[in-house]
Amino acid sequence: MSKTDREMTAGSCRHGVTLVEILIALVIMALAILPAIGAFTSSYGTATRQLEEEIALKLGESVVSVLLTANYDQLISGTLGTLPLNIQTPDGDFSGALNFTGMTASSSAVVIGRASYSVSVAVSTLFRAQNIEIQHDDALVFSFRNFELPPGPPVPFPPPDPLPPGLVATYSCFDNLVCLKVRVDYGHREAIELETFRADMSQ
Amino acid sequence: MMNRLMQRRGVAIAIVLVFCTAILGLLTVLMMNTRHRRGAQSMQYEQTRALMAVRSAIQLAIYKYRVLPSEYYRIHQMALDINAGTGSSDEFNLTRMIWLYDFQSKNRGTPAAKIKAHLESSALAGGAPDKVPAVSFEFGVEEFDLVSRSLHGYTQDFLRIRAWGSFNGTRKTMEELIEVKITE
Repeated sequence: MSKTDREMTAGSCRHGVTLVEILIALVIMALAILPAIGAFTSSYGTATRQLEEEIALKLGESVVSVLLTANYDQLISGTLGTLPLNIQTPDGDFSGALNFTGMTASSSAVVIGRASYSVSVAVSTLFRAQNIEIQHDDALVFSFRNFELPPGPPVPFPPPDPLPPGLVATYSCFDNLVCLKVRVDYGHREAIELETFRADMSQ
Repeated sequence: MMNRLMQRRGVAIAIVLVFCTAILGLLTVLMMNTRHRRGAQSMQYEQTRALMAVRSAIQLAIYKYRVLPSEYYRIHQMALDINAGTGSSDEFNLTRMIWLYDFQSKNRGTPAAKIKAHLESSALAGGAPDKVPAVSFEFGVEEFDLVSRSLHGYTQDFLRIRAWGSFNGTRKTMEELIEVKITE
C-alpha cells in the first residue's frame, strides 16, 4: 500500500467514525432534551395557572374591599344597583361594574393577560336584626359570662371545665350581620371563593 | 492511528454525556422548583381565606364596641387604673376575658362559633362533589385596646384590634387601627 492510499484509508475511516459519533450524540441529546422540553412546557403551564390564580385571589380581595365599604343599608336591602369596580391590572386599568340584582351580583368579564375572569357576589344574612315586637332566635347576641372562681379550694385558672361559663347577661343586636361571598371564575375547574362578614358600622 | 481514533470517539461521547447530565440536572431543579411553587400557591389561597376569617373577627369586635361602648370603657378605665397603680390586674383580666369571649370561634354558643360553622359548611358546599375537602376555620381576637394620642389641643383615640385567623392550619394575624370619636 502506497503512502497516499494509507492516508485515504485513514481519512475515510476517521470520517465514518465522526458520523457515528454525531448520530449517537444526537440520539443521546434527543433523549435528554425531549423530556426537558416537556418539563419546560409543564412548568410554563403551572406558572401560568399560578399567575392566573394569584390574579383571581387579588381580584376577589379587591371586590371584598369594595363590598366592605359599600352602603350597608342598600347592601342588605338588595338595592345597591351598580357598584363601580376599578381595578389596576398589568395590562392597564380596568373599569367595570358589579351589577346587583337583589342580593346577588355579577361583573362584566375582566380580561387580564390571556385569561378572562368573572366575578360573582352573594350577600346573605347570618344574623337577623332583633325585632322587639316579634322576637326571634337568629339575632346576633353578645353575652356576659361569669368567670368568677367558685368558693372552695384553689383550682387552676381558667378552670378546666369544658362547659362554657354561666351566662350573666345577654345583649341582642338590632342590626343584621351579613355574609359576603365572592367567587372568581377564571376558566379552571376550581374557582376562587372568599367569604367574610360585615356588620353595620354606619352609626 | 486506531488508538487515536478510539480515544477521540470516547471523548466525544463523554462530552455528550456530560451535557446530558447537565440537562437532566437542570430538569430536576426545574421540576423541584415547580413542585415547590405549586405548594406555595395553594398556601396563598389558604392564607387569603384565613385573612377573610380575621376580617370577620374584626368586624364582630368593632360592632360589639359600637353597640356596647360603656361595657368596654369599664375595661379601659380598669387598664388606666392599673397604669396609675390603683387598679386590680385580676379584675381587669377577668373583665377583659368576658369581653373577648364572644370573638373566639372555639367558644361554643358564641357568635364567632356560629360564623365558623357557617364558613365551614359553605366551604364544603362549594367543593367538588367527588372530592370533598376537609376544611377548618378558626379565628379570634387577641387584643382589643383603646389607644389615645395627645396632639395640639385635642386627643386622637384609636381602637387597636389584633385578631388572628386560620384556615386548615394556615394562620394569619391582622392588626387594625380605627379612629373613634369619644364623647366627653
